[in-house]
Amino acid sequence: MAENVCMNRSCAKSSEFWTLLVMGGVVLLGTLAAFFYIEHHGHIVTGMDNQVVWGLPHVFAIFLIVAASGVLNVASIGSVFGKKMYKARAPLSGMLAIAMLAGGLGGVVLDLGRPDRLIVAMTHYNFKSIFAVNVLFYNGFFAIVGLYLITLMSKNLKQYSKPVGLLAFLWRLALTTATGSIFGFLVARAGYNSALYAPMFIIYSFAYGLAAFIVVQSVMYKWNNIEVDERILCRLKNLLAIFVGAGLYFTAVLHLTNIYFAKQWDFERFLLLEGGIYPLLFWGGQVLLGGVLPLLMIFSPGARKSPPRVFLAALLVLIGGHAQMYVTIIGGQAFPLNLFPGYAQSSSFFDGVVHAYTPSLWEMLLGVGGIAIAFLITVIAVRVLKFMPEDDFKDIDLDACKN
Amino acid sequence: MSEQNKQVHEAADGDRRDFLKVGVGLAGVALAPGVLFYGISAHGKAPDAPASTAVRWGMLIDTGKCADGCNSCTTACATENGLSGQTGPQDSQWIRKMHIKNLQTGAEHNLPMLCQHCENPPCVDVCPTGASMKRADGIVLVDRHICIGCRYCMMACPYKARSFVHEPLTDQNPEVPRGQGCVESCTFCVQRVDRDETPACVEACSKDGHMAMMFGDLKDPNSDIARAMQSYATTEVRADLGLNTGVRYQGI
Amino acid sequence: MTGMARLGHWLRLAALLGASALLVAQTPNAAAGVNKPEPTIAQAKGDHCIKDDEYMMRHHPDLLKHQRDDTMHRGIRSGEFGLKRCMECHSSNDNGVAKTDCDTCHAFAAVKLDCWDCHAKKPAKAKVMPATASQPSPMMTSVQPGGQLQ
Repeated sequence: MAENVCMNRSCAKSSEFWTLLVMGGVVLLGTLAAFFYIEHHGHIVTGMDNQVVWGLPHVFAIFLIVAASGVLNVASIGSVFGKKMYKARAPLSGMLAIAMLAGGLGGVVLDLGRPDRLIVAMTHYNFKSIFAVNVLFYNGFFAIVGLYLITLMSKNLKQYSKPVGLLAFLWRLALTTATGSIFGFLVARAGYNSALYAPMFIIYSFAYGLAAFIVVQSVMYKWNNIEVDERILCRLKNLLAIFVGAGLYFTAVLHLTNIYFAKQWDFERFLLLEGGIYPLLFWGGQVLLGGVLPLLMIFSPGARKSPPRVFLAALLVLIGGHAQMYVTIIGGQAFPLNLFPGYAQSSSFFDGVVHAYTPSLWEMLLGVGGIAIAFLITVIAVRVLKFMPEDDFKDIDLDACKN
Repeated sequence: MSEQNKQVHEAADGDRRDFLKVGVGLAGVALAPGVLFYGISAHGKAPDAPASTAVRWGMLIDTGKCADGCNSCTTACATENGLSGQTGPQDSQWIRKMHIKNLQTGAEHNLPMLCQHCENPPCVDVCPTGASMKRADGIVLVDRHICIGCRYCMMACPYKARSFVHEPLTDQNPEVPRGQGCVESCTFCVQRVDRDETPACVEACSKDGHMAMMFGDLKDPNSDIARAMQSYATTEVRADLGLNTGVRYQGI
Repeated sequence: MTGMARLGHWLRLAALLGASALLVAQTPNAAAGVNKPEPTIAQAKGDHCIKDDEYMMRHHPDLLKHQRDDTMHRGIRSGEFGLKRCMECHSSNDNGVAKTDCDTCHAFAAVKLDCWDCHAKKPAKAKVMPATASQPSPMMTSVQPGGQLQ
């Protein structure tokens, strides 16, 4: 089985690799064109304004950052919790974590008002800001996961993979807590201002990360004409179901609690019923496509024998995740700040009205640029090093998965 | 400065002092009503002295005197600070007139809304580089040299006081540097406050005779604004957030 | 290696050394200041700046940066090295277009400035701050501790 594996340059066809590289490169060129256009003309060419200040680029970027931390979970289950099936998948998981985090951070940096001041951001820290703390966590993540990969893939250092894996696991928990707190610490806005954001983002990261891993692994297996053993598929899909269910639970708790508070009724009515695109994306995207449908597919009879069904379920989770980020990030800004509760408010600065947001082409290019960066890093890494999971079936207890 | 210049200035200072001693009596009598007491309760600092915590700048706005449809404060702000004065979704507005109507009682009020210069500003807490800062005398500013334009402070501000500059700017007021890619908000006209003057909005409101805005040192018990706040009921917008704003309102 | 391969190897090495020599050929001259192309500071008024030319050329970034932090964060508006003060001498009006002397040197040195994204290229109107404390306004009715009561 292991001998058939061939993605890296020792045996794979060059043309396929170069095709993928060119595809990713073309998208990245579009992103760079958008970046330079925005940097030159200013954000006036985008759909973002003084009301909706974080737009589509942040939706994609924060999704990638959250999923990056989650995709490392697969490796953690192997190194930290000792499950052998996941150990074989650890290098791929670690590499994807680095690639996706790079893509997400790329998206954020490219959208800064003054991207030429990145050095300033790296050298001036206000540690009271959870954003600044995040920057430190992201840099540390690269270093720690890089080290982790080295211990996993080198000949001599394998014994260190457990402690470094534990460090990586704890680090990413802190990192995702901090990412969720970017929203949770915003005291003024009805859509944020909740301690629940930190654990909710942790659970979302578990779901999105595992879904991303399943998608990439499925593609790699298909590319090499290898069948995933159905017992492996079964365990992965059931784990995904647990995470998706937990994500739905946190979402439910957040909104049910908000609905309990009279002061939050207006916002919840907006987000869940009357806000147009936001209820549509919430119910249709986040809950249905990203939650209910994948669960139905995962637990449908014969799912463990059907890699395409599991792949589709994972893909839907990813799509639902983007819908969730859109609702969270943009829905939270579209609803106006309530300076005078109990009063109808109006002004020349769009007080008291729902803020419209129409993304421009430039923002879409910035957004997909993050995915392009992650894609390119993955393609190159998979070509250069051996990331294909090599399963040694005699060691794994695979009968535990009954469904 | 060279020695010659210094001597000239000292000589001029002496003449100036004499002139002022005579002039102040006449000026006081002529200007006592109106402008004097409402507009100029501020006291500035020497240019080579740092801002000090002994002072806390604040503003008191009497919404009862704020006229519907009047835009003196917003126009004056735009003129003083070099803003465009436009009100599109991407245009900077450091101060705006708000019209509010009580949904239960129907009571209506007008008031200017601007950066509240909080004592515990959320915008300062969340800025990753520390560009959003609070000066010792309470004025909340953006250090545009280190602002990277991430707009997180705009997400955090409860009053929607901050604006982002969406396009390259030219022809700025030399006293008020502002440019593309940075976030900005009301500075209490810090360039004027440091020259012993009041913010442009306050001066314009006084000049127009509405007298709805008062500016001064909250820590000086003898200043007009402190005495007014002791006598009348004043409210803090979104007091539930515990920010201890420097801008207070009367009549809502 | 075979004979031909060795020749190729030596030729490549010679080419590399030759190119490197060409690159550094002018270094002794440059170090000695021979034939050094210099930008001209076109408009500055007065005989020299606050400090002498060499000092200003070397230290102006640090002076400006320190002064800006003093002004921005501590509110100190006097001081010799504020940008507004520089503009009193180093800015000019060329057919209605404001220009600064910073541009000539920085174009020569190929160091991009972003100061002018925010700062105006002309001096502030009228109110030039003296280096010493100004007199409190006669309109003041109350005083800051340490100030003079009029």
